[in-house]
Amino acid sequence: MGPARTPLLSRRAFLAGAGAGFAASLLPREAEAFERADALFASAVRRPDGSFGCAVFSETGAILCDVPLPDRGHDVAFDPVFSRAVAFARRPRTFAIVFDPSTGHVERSLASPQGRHFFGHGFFSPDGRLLYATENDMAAARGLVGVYDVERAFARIGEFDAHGMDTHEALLMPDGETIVLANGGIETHPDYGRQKLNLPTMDPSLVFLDRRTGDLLAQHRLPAALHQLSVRHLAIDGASQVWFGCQYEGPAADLPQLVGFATPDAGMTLADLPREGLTGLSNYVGSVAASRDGARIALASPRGGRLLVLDARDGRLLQSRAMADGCGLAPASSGFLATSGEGAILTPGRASGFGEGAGTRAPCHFDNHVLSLRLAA
Amino acid sequence: MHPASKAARKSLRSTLAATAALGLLALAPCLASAPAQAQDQSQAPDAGGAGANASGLTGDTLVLDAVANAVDDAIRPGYQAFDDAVREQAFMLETLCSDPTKENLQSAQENFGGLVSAFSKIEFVRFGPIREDNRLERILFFPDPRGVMAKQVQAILKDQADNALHAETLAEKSVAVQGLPALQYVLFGDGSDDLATESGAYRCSYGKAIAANLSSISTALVEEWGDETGISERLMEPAEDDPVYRTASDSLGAIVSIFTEGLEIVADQRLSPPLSAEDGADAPAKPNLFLFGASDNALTALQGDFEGLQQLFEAVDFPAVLPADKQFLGPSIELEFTQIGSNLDAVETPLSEAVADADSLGKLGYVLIATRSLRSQFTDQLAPALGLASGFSSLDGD
Repeated sequence: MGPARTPLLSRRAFLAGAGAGFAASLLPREAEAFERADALFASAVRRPDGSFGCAVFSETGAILCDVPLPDRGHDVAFDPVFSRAVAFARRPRTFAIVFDPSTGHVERSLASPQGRHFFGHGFFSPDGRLLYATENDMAAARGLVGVYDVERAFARIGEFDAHGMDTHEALLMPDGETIVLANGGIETHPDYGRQKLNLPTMDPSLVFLDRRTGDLLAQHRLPAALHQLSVRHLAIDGASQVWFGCQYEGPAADLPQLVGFATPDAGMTLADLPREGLTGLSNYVGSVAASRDGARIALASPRGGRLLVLDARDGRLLQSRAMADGCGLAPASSGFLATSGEGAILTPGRASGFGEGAGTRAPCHFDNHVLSLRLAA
Repeated sequence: MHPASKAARKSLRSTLAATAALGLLALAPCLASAPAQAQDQSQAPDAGGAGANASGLTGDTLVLDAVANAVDDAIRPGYQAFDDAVREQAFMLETLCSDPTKENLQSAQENFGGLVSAFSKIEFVRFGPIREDNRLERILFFPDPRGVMAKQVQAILKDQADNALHAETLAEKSVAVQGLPALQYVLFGDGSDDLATESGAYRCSYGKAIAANLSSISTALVEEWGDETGISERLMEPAEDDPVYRTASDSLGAIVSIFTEGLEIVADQRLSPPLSAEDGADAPAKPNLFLFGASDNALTALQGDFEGLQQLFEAVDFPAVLPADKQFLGPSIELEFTQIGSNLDAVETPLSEAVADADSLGKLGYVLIATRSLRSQFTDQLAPALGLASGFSSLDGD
């Protein structure tokens, strides 16, 4: 998330699409809130009937559109140039659905090539012409970044070695040229569902690649004693530092630090969260987001039912609050929006972090990630 | 294992609960039914709730009693039985190595089934001491899609290095060569007939070292689960500053995870791959993918898996913590366990041949479907009824 993940969506284009009908369908309170809102959000969901979709929704929880997915989705990528969104399958599935988030119109579905599956994250190039997706080479248990040419009907034109396995979230750095990706280091194979096959020999890393050539620019690892700390989720702060969130596969009582920051040159540094901040995370960070101004970093642990906000300058803990099964995070006008697997939406209000109170509820279960689609005036 | 401490714990909690319940009753009689209260909260959760639903003190008492039941009546005895089985196997190997005969080899081989069964009954407890020092993988390196175990064990048998013959140095080697699949290879793999003669001396000593290494692991598991200040205490006395078990619901969630994770593993690791269940109706079975198929213990392992889960289910006594309108889940889950058990019992052995028999194959297919159905009863019905977070986001990391 972070600056690179808050692209603008034209309000006019939105209203010209399904927006008008949508606006008419809103309750007065929701319509007013939508007029005021400067962002919409997209998240993979499970519907009440058990089917799966990708919902575009407002801060108030009004669902604008809900694109059906063949199975459970994970993250969403958005290109504001052509107003395209892509909902990726959750690993180890092989589909990605391209749709227009302002209308819910499905443009096409993609399938990962033979012997590959999506890991669930990806992003567009700044000009909207290339789509990058994290993928698994199943036979070799090798992480990849697949590159798709949007204008050639999303033809897969190449792949980059991720230099590790279990490549999870990948983002484009603010320079528009560098890919940063998290190699979780956990081996899985679809023949065995989502079973973890290599916990004793995990080797997670954070990798920087040239997005045009795939050249390895830097690869960083945490100290060997932390080799079971799977680096999975990323956000980029205002100083172009990459914040990473981890899940720990070693003994739970170890309670290692779960979040840190990195740059291509300086490598990885773990934050120093106080014990009371760490215990609430239950050894698991499910998503990371940066505020719009890049000054604050939010973390969510659905296992611990806990949301944290850190100061991006020094890693200081600014806020901690409970949210049952909360995982989805996105920057909102002032602070952060958070969603939960139970269907709750927590809006920031005027808070610079997470809002107080119980939030609102949507008629669906939100998956782990939320994308913010900012509305231009 | 610890009847006195268990009784003391329960009675202390009961006293506290009774006191609290009386206070609550005076103020608000409707709160007296704790499980129902927890259920109400789970149906109307708000975003401000904690990770696990808070329930009243009365509810916590019942919940922690259920956790104590699991620990005292299933988990501790399960690890003890595994430890006993490891010692028995070690003794058999000792006998075989000092007196390599066909009879002693046969005894050691026959005993292996008991060891597989004992571990299968407790294998789905995947939190606590089993997660220290890679113990789980050192006992059971599986699945092994690249055949790492066979390659590495063959290399050991070829090189005959001394460091594979002692538990302490073996423990430093690859996890793949330390556990039950490696021992199975020693006892049943290519060249295992040598064990009946002096020419199998190195192989036999390696087998002994595997058993001794397993014994040090199983003994540690028994001791650490028995430690009154260790995992058991953390589960039964959850505390705010614990990294994992902060509320009674967290502890109960760990117990419920044994079922949800175990049933998922059985379906996705143990049944679906050998039955080629994801590869279309006409795909031929791949019986070599059965765990412990090489020793003809694949069915033994599956039976042990379900027996262990059923014993745990009965030990916990879920009806005591389920709300009145969810009481049906107890018998419903019991029935499914029973049906799975009787279908497994009716399958021909070995499973490598059973998959060629339409009737047996049908029974195994039924067991796969029933395993998934049983899992959904735990995840979609029992867990929410207990006020445990539905966990759509948290259940399975990503």
